[in-house]
Amino acid sequence: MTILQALKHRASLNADIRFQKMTLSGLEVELTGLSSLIDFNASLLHIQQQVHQDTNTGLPLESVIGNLGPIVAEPTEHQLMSSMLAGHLILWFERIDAYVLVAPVSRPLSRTIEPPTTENVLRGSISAFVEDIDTNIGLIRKHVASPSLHVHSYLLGTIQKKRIVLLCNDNVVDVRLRDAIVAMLEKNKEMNIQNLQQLSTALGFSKWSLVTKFNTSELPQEAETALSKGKVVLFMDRMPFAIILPSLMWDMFAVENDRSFPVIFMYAIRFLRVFGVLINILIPGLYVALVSVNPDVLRIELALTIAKSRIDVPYPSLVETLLLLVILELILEASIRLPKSIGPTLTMVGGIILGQAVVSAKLVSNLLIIILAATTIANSAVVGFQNSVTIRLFKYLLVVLSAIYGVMGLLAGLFLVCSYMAGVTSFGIPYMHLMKPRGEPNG
Amino acid sequence: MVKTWQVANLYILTHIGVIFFLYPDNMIQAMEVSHWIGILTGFLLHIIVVWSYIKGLSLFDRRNVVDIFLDAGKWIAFLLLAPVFVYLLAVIVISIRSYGEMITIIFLSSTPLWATMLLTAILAAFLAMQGIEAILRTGLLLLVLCMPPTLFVLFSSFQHVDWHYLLPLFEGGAFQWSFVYNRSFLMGLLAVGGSFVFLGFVQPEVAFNQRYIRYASFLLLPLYGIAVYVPLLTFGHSTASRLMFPFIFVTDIVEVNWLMFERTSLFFTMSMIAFVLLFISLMLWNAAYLVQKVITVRTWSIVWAIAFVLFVICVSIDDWEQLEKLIWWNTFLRLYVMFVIPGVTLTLGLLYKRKGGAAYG
Repeated sequence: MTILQALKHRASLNADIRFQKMTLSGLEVELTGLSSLIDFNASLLHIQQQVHQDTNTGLPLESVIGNLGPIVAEPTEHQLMSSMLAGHLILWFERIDAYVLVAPVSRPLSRTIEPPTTENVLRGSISAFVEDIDTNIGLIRKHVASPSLHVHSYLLGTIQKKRIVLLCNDNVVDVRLRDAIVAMLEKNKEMNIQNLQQLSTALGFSKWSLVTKFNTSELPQEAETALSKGKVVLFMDRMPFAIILPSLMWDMFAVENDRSFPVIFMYAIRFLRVFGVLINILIPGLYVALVSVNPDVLRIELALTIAKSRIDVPYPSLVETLLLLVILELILEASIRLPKSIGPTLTMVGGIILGQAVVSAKLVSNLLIIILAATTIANSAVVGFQNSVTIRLFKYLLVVLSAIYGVMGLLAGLFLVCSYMAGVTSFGIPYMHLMKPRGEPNG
Repeated sequence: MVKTWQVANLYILTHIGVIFFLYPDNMIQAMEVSHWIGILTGFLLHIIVVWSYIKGLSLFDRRNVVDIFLDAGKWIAFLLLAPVFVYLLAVIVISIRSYGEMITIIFLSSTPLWATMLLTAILAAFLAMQGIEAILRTGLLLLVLCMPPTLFVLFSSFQHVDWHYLLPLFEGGAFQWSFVYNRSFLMGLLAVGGSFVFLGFVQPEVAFNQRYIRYASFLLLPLYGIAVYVPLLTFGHSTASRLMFPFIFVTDIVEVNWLMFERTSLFFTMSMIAFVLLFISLMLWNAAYLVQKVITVRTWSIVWAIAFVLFVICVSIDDWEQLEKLIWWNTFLRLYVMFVIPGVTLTLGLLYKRKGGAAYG
């Protein structure tokens, strides 16, 4: 049984494997490929044209075949199958029993370049990365037209091969960082990687890290800045964003797009984000601390107002706060899941709950509503969803500690968060490090 | 890696942490008038000690005291550093216990003392187990977060000051320096010679430029001055000497109309506690480092072990008088740490330099 016959046998399991016989300058040829990946008609036309041209110029047969693509040296069924899955068209020349891999005209299976869907740009380039890895690299090449930009490609996995591409600007890149990442990728060649969690395992990060180890961005502009700061950018096939390593604390507050504004506004905006993070972490805890443990530190008028708003609320402030925080988290989560057409319903229902109803029912105080609304708004001021998740979590630590120790607990929580962040490193680069274009280490 | 700014920052912050609690009370108790002489004496002692220490260190090429002493001989190093270890442990116990007491007085009157101390111990150990670089970086974060409220309170604390209390500037007795034998003055040296030892431990992982540490030490003088003089100028000596935490009391009575909080002392004490936590974790790390030189264990295990033992000791201290006794005993160890360790370091450094010179000459 020839390999082709074995493949034909497989075709009964895969309806999209297609076989086609044809004659190329007098030679019997059989073509095989996945019709779901390849535009057969266009590919055939292309091959015929090329062969016709080559024969007309009088090239010998070997060269004509060689011009079509690489000849598979020792073909096996498995090897041909994986080439087919990778999107190649296989030509079998019956007379000389040779298999040739041809780069076909593929079906357009990727989006065209569109504006970003999870990040907004006010003044700046609005084209975003797509699922196709080569388009993404192309976008970066357009942004960084520099000979020192190097692209390294890796194929990871045994069952399902995944292409991962590493980009760095060799003039400025932190060499230790690049070498460490390359070493990890080489070491874990066998690992199957389908998501960021698996990638994080492959790169040797701890599973239990609370801060994100990857900064991700849909914007070529951000990736460009990261490269110029000496960071490393990874692309994973079918992931429409750049994975930037290392992720640093300052990434939470700064985006490159800020630089489209005058310097003063840039600093003001960034300060606002820092302030937003502080509000988000501190305020729910502060409410719990002030209401249940330390009402004495407030001005008497304010303490009375708060107490008045809590008359009739039947449970301690910790339960009250946690209850409403959980509802808020649910709304956030649900609005990601829902299709856009039903989304407004959620907003409306959520608005009713968090509006007057929950207060009139004496379930929570109206001060808490204000505080939680402020928290949620502040939470969204952070750059990058992956960072806002971290902050959402830290908030609960502070709420619980505040319920036990009052304002002291608030401080304790803040101290814990600070010391945790100060202790996090990835590939020897501390989370608090500030990466400058010239690579000056500080912070 | 050279991290001069981080080291200088940690040096300042840990001092701020200890200056504003016990030190004002000690200094006010130690002298009747002309406190500035006492403050200046303390500050000069500090300068001499720290400068000779870092001078001695700089003569060696980025090495820490432990290695330097080990070169002189195993047993010499052991004998020299064993008291330092005991001193560090005692300082941690004193800090955890006294700040626990203070937190109880100011914020948590109904929370049991052990719970507060447990929290302090856990926080300090959590930071200490992550190593010196994490401590240095936490110092930076705390600088950003806690310095603005601290400065605000420091400035606003002058609100009720009556400058007449400054007088008399020169009272005959002060210049006989009899106060240096005063028990309170010696106890007040906690703020003078409390945390500088760490400078000798951070190398070679973290290097610093000694010149900037010297500059930084000048920043401490106004802080010593404010800590003692603001309560004095607000209340006068006879009232201030009756208060347990005079400076905190001053910040308690500062009135700021537009602030939604009743007392500014809230921010101040919170910032101070943050700095003290930094101080405790630094001392804990120092102690763990010394243990690691004798037996090889993982940092986190030794840090948590020390923290647990010290927490038990803290709980077993019954009252403030016992604590004062401990502070007093520890004063002798502190004098040892302040004078012997820098002295030996400088001497060894000079010897090393001379030998090196002879070898190359």
